[in-house]
Amino acid sequence: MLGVMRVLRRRRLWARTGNVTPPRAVVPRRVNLISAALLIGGVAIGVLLHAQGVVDDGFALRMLWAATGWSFGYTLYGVGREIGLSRYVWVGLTGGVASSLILILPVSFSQAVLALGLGWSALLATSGVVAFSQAWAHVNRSAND
Amino acid sequence: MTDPIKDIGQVDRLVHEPARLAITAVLSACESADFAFLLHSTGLSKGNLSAHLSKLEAGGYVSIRKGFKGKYPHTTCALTPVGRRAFERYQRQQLALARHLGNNRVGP
Repeated sequence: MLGVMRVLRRRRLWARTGNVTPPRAVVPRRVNLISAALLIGGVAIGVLLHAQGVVDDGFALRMLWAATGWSFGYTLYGVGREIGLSRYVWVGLTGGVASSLILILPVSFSQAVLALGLGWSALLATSGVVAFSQAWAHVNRSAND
Repeated sequence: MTDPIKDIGQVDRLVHEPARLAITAVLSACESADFAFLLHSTGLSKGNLSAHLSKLEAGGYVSIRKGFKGKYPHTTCALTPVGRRAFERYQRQQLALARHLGNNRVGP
């Protein structure tokens, strides 16, 4: 998919305007630390609740995937704020909050993995389509000018 | 503290020239850009762009990589660390000058 996007960018989008390599966006250390804390904290809460008999095995395991979603969502949110890209902020917030659904829905461990994967794939694909359509509109505007 | 007015004379002329300023400004916002992108974004002519890129390369501010994309020549340009520092220094000088002039503005 990334290869297709690269070819489309080079052969179509940037055919007239030339190629540019954007600066490498490095995830700030603070964002990395908070993301790791969200993942470890989520898993720890799941294990703690399970140890106290508050939740069953399934919930404790689903907590792992929910925490993964929160962690990834926060990474996108943090990077979006860092580079001033509101799309990433929204994708991060939406994905992070939506990952919590895994805890509420009556799904098994394996279904939770599938739900998380499909949910994030759909969200990131939508984000990519939005970015692509904006770039396409920009190229067409430049061609008409 | 240095006087921004006196610093005008110390401005880096290799960056200050409008065409070269446009080139360095574009390159400062990315890792690298090809010749076509610079042409499109700066609005310079091919000859003009080429001449200014050569000056920036001679000053060690820009690295130019020439290659081929299929059968066609392809030139990629990037700011060197020296060029990036020079552009940042230039930006700081201009900001200091703008701030100084703004603070000293006298009303009608």
